[in-house]
Amino acid sequence: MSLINTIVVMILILTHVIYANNFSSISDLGASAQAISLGNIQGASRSADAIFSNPAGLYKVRNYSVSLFQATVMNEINYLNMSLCKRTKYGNIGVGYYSASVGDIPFTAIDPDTAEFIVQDMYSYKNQVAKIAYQTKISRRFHLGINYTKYKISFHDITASGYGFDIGILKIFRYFTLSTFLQNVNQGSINYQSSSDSDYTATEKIPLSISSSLRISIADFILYPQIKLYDNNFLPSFGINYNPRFIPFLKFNAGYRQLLDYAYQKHDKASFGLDLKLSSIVFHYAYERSDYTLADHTSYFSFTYNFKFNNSKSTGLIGSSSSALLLLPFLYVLTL
Amino acid sequence: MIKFLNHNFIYLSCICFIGIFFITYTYADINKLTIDPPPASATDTDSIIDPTINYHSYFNTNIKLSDPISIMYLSWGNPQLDPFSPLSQINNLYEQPSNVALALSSDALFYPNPFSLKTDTPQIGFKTTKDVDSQSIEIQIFDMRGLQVFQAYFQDNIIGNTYNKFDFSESTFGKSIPNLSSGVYLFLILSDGIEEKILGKGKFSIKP
Repeated sequence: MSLINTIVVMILILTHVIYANNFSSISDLGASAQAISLGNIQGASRSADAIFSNPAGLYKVRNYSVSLFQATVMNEINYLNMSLCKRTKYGNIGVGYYSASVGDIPFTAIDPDTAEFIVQDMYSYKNQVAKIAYQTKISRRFHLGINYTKYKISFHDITASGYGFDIGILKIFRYFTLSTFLQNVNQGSINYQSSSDSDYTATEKIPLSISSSLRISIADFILYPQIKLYDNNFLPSFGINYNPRFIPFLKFNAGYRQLLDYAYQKHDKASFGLDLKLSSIVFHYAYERSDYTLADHTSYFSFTYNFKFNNSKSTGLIGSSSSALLLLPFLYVLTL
Repeated sequence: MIKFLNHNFIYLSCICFIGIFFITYTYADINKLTIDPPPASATDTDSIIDPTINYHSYFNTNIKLSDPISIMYLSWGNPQLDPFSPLSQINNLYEQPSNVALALSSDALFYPNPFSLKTDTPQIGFKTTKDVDSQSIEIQIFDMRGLQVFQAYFQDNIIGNTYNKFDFSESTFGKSIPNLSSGVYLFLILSDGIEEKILGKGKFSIKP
């Protein structure tokens, strides 16, 4: 319990040194369709995509877990999330990759004859977030996870990069489970450069984000209340998961959340979805309304697959050939 | 007998001629064609063009230039067609303002793109098919998650068929531009009326 006290004190200290900054991370969209349908509760996932919500939630991974998530927002912005987790004898190791890309953005110039704005060229935008996660158990009911996060952004002649560290804890009590996730505890920054203008440099601070949620089981329902502190804004969320006993392979989710847009203004969002479990594969779907008139309905899809590889038991990180599954993306993240 | 007829014919002809002369002389002032004197200079068109009317707004750009057109030469100076005259319906060269559908006749573009809100002075430029009153055109801006980050009306009148440029600033929209994070933004240009209509859309990116 003294560890929890230490973490609580650390949170209180960190909240007093929050920067006034304006970087917005793409992963705030949600790590999976399941997370979005539950109001983006950051302690709900128990599969590989927990790397992006709370790495302590990886404790449930017994062998391998893969998560894939794809969404297209406003018919223009493509989101992709891939996560992989492997259990080793040292703890669970995970790698996650999140990207948002947009194409056909006009690079404009002024027509010398008419003085009108014209399209001179088209460029694309890519924002990538990669995470390496490690999860270990402090005790049977107390789990700890940490992340190393790498950010990389590129568009037109601009490139930017930065890094951060996350800490997540998960404490299982008799009637509920407490999850706390501290994102970017080092309060790092994204540094921008231009390949065509050597004088151009700019910095955006990545704000500290702290979220705390509960998981309360009542009959066929699981309730997820959450409070999140992001850039001095308190953002409540609430999720309900209903798993009817007569259809055990189907779960219904509903969620509500407050979130900040890129101008740091609050918005309210409601969502719903379902999980379809077929053996060790679980398909997730989420639906959410959008403010964008031309595509005011957004659907999210994801799936998770928990599997064994060659009947392998817990091995070291480089203990078997199957570890190459993890090592390749691991190396990719390091070189990003 | 023939001589008698010839005399009568000459006599009747003379009476008719005198009658016609008398009638035309009497009503000459009524039907007299007058010619306006030429303007003081060749560029003086004040008598022809009403400065309060934006004639470009009503010009029909959909006519086929390969088709022959007729021009009524009404006065000295350059030939002009008055869009409010029934004669302007010839060749449908002009359309009445009420018949022109409001639309963007050019892409709505930000310049520069990408831009920084701190170091650049971004502008948005577009052309409409006709004049639009102030606070009738709306802009909505969305971030990468589909959340609306900005909504405002253009405060100035928009001149039809003329390329309009507006500063992306409080002076254009009557409200301050929020401090937007770096990223890609989508925007919509909408007309405000009985039925809200999307006139155009586009993308821009912001660098810090």
